[in-house]
Amino acid sequence: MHLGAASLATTAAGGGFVALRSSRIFEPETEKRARFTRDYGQGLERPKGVFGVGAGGPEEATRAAIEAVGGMKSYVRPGETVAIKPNIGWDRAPIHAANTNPIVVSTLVTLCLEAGAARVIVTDNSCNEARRSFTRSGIWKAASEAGAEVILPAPHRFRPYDLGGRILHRMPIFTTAVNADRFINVPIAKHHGLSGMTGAMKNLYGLLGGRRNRLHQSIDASIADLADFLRATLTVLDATRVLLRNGPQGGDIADTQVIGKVVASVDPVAVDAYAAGLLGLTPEDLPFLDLAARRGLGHINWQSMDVRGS
Amino acid sequence: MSGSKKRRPKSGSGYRTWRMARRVSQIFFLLVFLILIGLTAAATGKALDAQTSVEVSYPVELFLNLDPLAALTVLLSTGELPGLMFLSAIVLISAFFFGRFFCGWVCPLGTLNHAIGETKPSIRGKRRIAMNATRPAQKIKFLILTGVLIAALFGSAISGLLDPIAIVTKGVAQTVLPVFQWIVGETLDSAYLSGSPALQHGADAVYDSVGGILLYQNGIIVAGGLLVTAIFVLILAANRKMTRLWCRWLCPLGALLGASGRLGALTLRKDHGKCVQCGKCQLHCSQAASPRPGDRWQRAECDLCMNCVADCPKGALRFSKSGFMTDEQSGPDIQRRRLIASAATGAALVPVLRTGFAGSVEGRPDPDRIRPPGAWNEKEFLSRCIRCGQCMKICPNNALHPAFFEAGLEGLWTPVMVARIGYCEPTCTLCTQVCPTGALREVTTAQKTGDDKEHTVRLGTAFINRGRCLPWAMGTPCIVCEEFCPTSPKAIWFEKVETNVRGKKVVLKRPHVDPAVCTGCGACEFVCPVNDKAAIRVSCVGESREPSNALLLSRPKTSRPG
Repeated sequence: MHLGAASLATTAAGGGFVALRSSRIFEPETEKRARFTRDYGQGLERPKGVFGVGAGGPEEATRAAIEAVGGMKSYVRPGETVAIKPNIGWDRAPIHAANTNPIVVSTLVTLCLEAGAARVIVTDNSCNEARRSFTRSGIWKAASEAGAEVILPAPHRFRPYDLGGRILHRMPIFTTAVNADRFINVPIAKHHGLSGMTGAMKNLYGLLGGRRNRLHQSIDASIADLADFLRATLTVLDATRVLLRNGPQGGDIADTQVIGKVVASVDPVAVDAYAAGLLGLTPEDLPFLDLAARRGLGHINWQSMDVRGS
Repeated sequence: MSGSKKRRPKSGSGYRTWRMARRVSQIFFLLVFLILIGLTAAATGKALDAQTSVEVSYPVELFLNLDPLAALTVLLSTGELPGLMFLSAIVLISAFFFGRFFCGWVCPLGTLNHAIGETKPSIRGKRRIAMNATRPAQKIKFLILTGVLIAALFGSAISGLLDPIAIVTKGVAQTVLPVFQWIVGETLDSAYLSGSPALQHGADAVYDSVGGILLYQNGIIVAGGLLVTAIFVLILAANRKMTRLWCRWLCPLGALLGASGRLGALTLRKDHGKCVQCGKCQLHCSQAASPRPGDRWQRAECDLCMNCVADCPKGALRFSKSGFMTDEQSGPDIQRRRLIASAATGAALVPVLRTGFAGSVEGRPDPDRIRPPGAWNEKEFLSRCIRCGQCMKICPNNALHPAFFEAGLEGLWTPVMVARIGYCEPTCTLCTQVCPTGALREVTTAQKTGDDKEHTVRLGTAFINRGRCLPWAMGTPCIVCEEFCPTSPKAIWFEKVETNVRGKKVVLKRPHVDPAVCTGCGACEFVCPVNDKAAIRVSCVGESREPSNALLLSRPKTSRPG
């Protein structure tokens, strides 16, 4: 109760980050909160303006990308709980490149634990049946073996919060994921029929419950709102194998192409702009990039950043 | 039980051990049955590789495989005995010697009936003895059996409607489990809302441990489930008026087993000299089989529950080995007239059901008669489906539901997909793996996804209602249907159009369905944001199992448009 009251006061005063460091998973008094934006970079000295690129197999590329942006110790402090949010949306095998590569995920789990994380959670709210998607993506197994807790999107874990967005307001949010100390967003670069591409910012759809199928009516503003609501500690894009057509589910290996890259950055807009390039799209094709950049969430021109690695 | 001085004839102590053995057997088989229903779920989890196909790990349809009524029905209606149905021979052969032993010692519905009827009964003493007197109504079940077997001969598996194993499978899966899930869900919700960390972590622990077996992600709604529930509850509640009323009067499986008990390995011997006509033998006689000396013992009714011999205070009753056809009542005593009448009814039932209802197998199909993958054509399907509900239980998306009138009157409780509640998961073949009678044939994942272009399994075709579709009717972007369409290439494609909405220029993507690619999985209908009546709906036309319900003249072997 005491902690709850304290965080309420913080919110009322600053309207910013709410620390839920109690072991409580869900704080029932949220309706009174003015705004729920969460910045998972708070209290960290993260390298600024750096864009890390790793090449090679999934593990090698992931390690290289994280190394390029200063190592996991810059993003995770000892004793913290880290939520890793891959894309586990679909009942597809890794070869179909509809979900994040399981080895990219398990490598990140290992790196977080090496950096001293007390707990690493891996989760998503799948589009297809969750247990099936978690199994067939290979992420359930790989992440568990690496030492993560893989959390299923059980209905009771979703609670309504006010996202305080321009168009997104009260939505059920995946409490287990957002109540971690750190949040690492691990999308895969994919084609998407409506938004053109799905990458980092669109990946945050997986934190929503309820009737998220209405977000498509204003998809660009929805994506920007989500990215505004949840500022990840780090964004790691899986571009080891990229789905070029028939997204976001794919289903035909012929639709995929091996790129062999993993990129990492604090800046989700830059990561999405990079992913757009892989799919042969320009920032003009993806209005959500401009919307997000104008809200100060990041930079479209990733090439102008401090690009490290290969 | 072992301390008695004389094993016979003084007391029923030896039989009390047998009675205890019967009770242990009942509890054991009921537990096995319930556990198997719980295990009727996909094998998923952290131990599995991405490459393994998701399957069922246990013989969850075991009790249905052991059901001789189901086996005989399918054998008569199709001339074949599919899968593991030959296992039912074990039960049938045991019935030749021990009659309704299965009813008394094994049947899960019998056990539930027995327990409800015998636990703290309100009818006691003389009224209870009278309750357990043999009645003419007990012959009804033999007439029902005759009727449904003749119907099977005419190609209809409607015996399944009255098959106790099917009823109890459905009853647990479609009545008990949904209620259980609702209660668990509400409890977990309250635990989260409480704000107490201990309760919240407890809720997570409960979900993560039993959720995989007992809980669906999307919750359980059983469309038309109230009728299943009502009948299940009625069967159970009837026991308070008369123990095992269902088993005594109506159960066609009980009739089959009872009538099979011609070889009679055991006979109830009655010592009239010792009998004092106290009636205790009849006080707990579970099948009203007239154990009392002076009455004719009904071999075709007795389920060897061992109550009469255990309860007799004078040792006047005992079971002994018997030769073929003793002086006691061997078979059911039914007037030939009645038997012929019920056979005629069974024979007439099939043509009446098939000609007297527009949505029957002979008529144009109801658009909502969307069958699970692997289903035979409708005629063959109805000759195999025993309405056990296994397919509905295992469906991970809660897509399959007991039909009401979608498949005609004859198709009551056969499975249909209700895509608004759940769609057919593209790579899932679980329902075809658990169907005990082969009404659903096993299909491959490639057939489901459409990768096997020659043998694609299509459940129907999706149609867009342009009057309700947001991009078509409302000038609003959407195409969630396209995002969820699982085929490759997608059956739902869109055209980009520039249009005016109240004078404002808007660019829209308008969806179309390619009927040559659509598999009718219903994912589009499920996710359509027009929440009440979807703007895209699947109907059964174009289903691959039924050539007479084809949509296209021919299916071009398109690989990839554009």
